[in-house]
Amino acid sequence: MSEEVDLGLGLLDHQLVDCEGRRCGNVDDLELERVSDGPPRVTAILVGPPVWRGRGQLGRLASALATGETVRVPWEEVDKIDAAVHLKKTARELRLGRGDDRARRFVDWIPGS
Amino acid sequence: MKKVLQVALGILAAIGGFVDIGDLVFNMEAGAKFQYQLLWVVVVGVVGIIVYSEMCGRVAAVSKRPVFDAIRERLGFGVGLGALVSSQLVNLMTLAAEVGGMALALQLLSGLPYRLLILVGIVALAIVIWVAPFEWIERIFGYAGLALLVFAVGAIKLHPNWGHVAHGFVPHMNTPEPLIYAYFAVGLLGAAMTPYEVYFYSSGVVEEGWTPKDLGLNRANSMIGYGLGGFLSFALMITAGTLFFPQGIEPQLIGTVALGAQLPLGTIGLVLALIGILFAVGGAAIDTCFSGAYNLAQYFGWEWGKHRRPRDAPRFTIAWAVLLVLALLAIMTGIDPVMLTEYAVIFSVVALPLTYIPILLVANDTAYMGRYVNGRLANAFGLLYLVIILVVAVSAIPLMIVTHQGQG
Amino acid sequence: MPRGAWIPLVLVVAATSCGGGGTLSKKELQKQAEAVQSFAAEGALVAQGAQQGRTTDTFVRVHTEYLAKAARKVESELGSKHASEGLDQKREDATKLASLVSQDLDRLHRDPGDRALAARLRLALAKNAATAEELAK
Repeated sequence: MSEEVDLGLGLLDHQLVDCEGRRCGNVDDLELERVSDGPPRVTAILVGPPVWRGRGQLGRLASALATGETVRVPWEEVDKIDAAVHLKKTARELRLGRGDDRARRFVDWIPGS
Repeated sequence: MKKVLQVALGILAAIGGFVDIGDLVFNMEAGAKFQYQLLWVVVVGVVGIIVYSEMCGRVAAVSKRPVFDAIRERLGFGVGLGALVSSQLVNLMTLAAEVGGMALALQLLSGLPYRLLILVGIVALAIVIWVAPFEWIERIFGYAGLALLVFAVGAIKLHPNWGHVAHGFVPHMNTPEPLIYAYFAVGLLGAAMTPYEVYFYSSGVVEEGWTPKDLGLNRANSMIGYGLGGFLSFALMITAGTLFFPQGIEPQLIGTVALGAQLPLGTIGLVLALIGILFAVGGAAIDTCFSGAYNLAQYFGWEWGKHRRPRDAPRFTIAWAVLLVLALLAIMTGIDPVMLTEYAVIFSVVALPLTYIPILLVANDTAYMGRYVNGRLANAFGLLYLVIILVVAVSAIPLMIVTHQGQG
Repeated sequence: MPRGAWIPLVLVVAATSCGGGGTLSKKELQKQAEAVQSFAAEGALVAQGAQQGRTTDTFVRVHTEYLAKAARKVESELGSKHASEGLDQKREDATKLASLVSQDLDRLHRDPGDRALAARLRLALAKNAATAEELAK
């Protein structure tokens, strides 16, 4: 359990990669749950600009300037952890990486993209 | 055998890519002002970029983390964002200066109007990036940049007093203007230790899937590529020291740089110098532009990669395109590219600790690096350069103000 | 001194110590003279290349234009200021010299292919460079 928390805190700011190998965001924050006996455990990974508000002064500023919603990725969705956090499902299923999906239409129309 | 050839080609590309507009400007100005006295500073700078680049490459190969990924983790989101913003501002200034430098080289070759050539340059860069595979880009710009070797040939042909030149490699200062000397020392170090090359390199290492097996290649790339590139810097300073110093000529124009090859070698020297400047600076512009996009994408977790199709990394693609447009707007204001270069180099030196310290920390962290962590030698150099970088970062802006950018 | 007198005094001091119509210090004059020397010496080198046919007309045309523009800038900066008693003659000489240099460079800019002209301009610019060096001492 405490191993999970250490792991979780060590995961902060890591790259998220979906099951197809697609990069889909960073670990912006963690959702912790208090347990009656023992240290709190990690219940979810939080991703998105609103989450940055808890990450310092510049984080608050960045949060105000950026658009996007918070995405909550339950801890159960984590497959394995090495240099990046690998997830079990695709980014689409987990509602991650939508910034790139939205941006694609700006690039799509140009031949050779 | 094929691997050796690949390494050789990569290194050749690095030499041509080592020299950018900052090196051209500061090495020539330092040579014109202090003749050969600052050659030793170039050596310090080259060793510094080798140390920095090797560390970043090793971190990237072992931990699979490029520079800004490591920075976000080490500094935290808030402070790391400060490092990101400052590096982007410096990147933008550098990119604008490089685009201006390209336009000036094109103007000296073609006689066409400067502003038109800025547009031509940016559009050409965008098309090349969009259409050409990156291996081609690196090869073409790297090899054409080798035309700058004409300065080495010219420097030899000028028959400098080699005894004086050799003395320049021994740290000494013999001048009534020590503050201006210090300013140029700072500028030369900044021009040699350009961080955008390191961001670019470490991103490439991650993208190409290097592993600890490639660490020997990493070391060779850094040492030989930057080392031979430093040799070009010597040629520039020696040329200026031999041609411009005795006559009191202060190089403040790209044309003056080219004159340094025209005088010993005639028309062919001039044309090769201008082509070399065009492609070295143009290649640097592409690297700078991509570095900016890499930093953003890595910091925010977007998809990225120079080999990726644009539609597979859309935000990354938009990022480099926007950087090009911003650089275009900046340089179109008519600001002098050479002056902008000086500012860019000085500010880059001020921001250097923010990106150097996290890498030094990560390179010492066994959790990330396992047994490839910094050894005693790497740390000896790493810490030595930390001190150098901090001293230089703190003194850069005061020196720039007090010496009026080296004018006195 | 009455309190109110400080204000106009401060304004006068501020006005006379600003650039553009202000006074030229000895050091500034020296720097400007060195700049004129630099442009003239470089111009002579460019002219040498043109005289020998060891350069391109385009390069000569474009580069002399930049050099001439820089020389004219120095000329206007020197012309718009005053120097203290002993220095003002030097300032005038430097201003005239900057003007001569920029004119020579303009001539070279207009006719980069004329080798005989380039030879004459090379001598003229070299002479001006030497004069500027004297002024800078």
